[in-house]
Amino acid sequence: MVDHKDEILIQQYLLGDLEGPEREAFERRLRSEEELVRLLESYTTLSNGLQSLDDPEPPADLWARRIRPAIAEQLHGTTDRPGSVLSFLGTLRSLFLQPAVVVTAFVVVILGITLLLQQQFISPRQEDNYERAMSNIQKLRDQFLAELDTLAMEMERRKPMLSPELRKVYDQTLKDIDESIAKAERFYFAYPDNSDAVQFLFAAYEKKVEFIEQFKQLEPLSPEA
Amino acid sequence: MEEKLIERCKHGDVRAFEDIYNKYGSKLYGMCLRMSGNEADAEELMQEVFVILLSKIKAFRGDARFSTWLYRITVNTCISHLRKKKFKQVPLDDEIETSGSLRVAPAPMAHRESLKRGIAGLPAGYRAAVIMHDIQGLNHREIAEIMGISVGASKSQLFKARRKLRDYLNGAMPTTAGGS
Repeated sequence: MVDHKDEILIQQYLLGDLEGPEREAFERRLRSEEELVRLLESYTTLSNGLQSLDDPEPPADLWARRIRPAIAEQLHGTTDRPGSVLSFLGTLRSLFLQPAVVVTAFVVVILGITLLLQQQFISPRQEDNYERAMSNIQKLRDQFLAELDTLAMEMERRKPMLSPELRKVYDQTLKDIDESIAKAERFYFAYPDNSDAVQFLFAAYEKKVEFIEQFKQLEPLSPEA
Repeated sequence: MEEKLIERCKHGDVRAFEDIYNKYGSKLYGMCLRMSGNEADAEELMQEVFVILLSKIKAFRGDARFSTWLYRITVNTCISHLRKKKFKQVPLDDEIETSGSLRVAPAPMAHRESLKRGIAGLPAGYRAAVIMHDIQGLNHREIAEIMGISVGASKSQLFKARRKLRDYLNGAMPTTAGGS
């Protein structure tokens, strides 16, 4: 007759927690007690069955359909609230780190504020157009991101063929461009309906595409490359 | 490598979150789906996990492994979700036998569907333990860290979960050696 204690022993045995004399005693019992063997088998079967349940893959579009928009909304609503003085200063501060973009950023901010003020008078028909425009921007952005992913993966495959110096240049430049993209994305999520913010973002993506494309031309590497 | 990814997340880089999704999404979705029992809720949970990740990432100091920390967010989100929704459970016996003889002969094989139904009927904590240990292959130390419990408590959760599952399967499936 097996009981609750035996069940604990079986689970300990399966987890490898039963050692020394306890394990030997348990294994001796297994040789003579049929009911104990059956109970052990039932737990082994259960364990094997559970291990055969693989992790299901999430839907292919889950990121694009639900998670990315939710993150964007969160960034828009809390981190970079449009019109917020802190957000405005924070954005300016990060952009001022790169003098080349400060003038553009200033113009973009002014235009953004103007656009936001104009939006208070948007008619329902204009709202439809607005939704369509935002949807088109999102689609274009998705296309850019997909293209960048493909290019980046292709370059990762080719990188081992580059000289160490070129690899270093590639990695460093790509890092700089990625930082610019991150800034542009923050700006875009703060002002998603600002045409200059959108252009700023796509210009950053384009820069990365151009850079990788140019680098691809260097391959296969010649000494002059 | 992961440190850079986390830094980019802290700076609000959406692509970094996407990288995290690509790296851990499958495991997290598996957890969400098995915890919630349906795809719609699993998607909602995944969205919630990433929104929480975004809001908490700046507080991540690297005291624990990032994957453990992310798992903890996921498990807590799932458990909280189940509590909020008062999730409908497949009726299993609530009482776990603590003494006396066992009532059922072993099932010949554990059918997947029965197993899934059995898992869906477990209380949230047991469910999380069995998913993490038996399906996703985490060890008790990792589970304890994720769930904020001791290793002993993790083993106990798993023990009780398996026992309930075994009882459920023996009741739900034909056996070779007779029923209860």
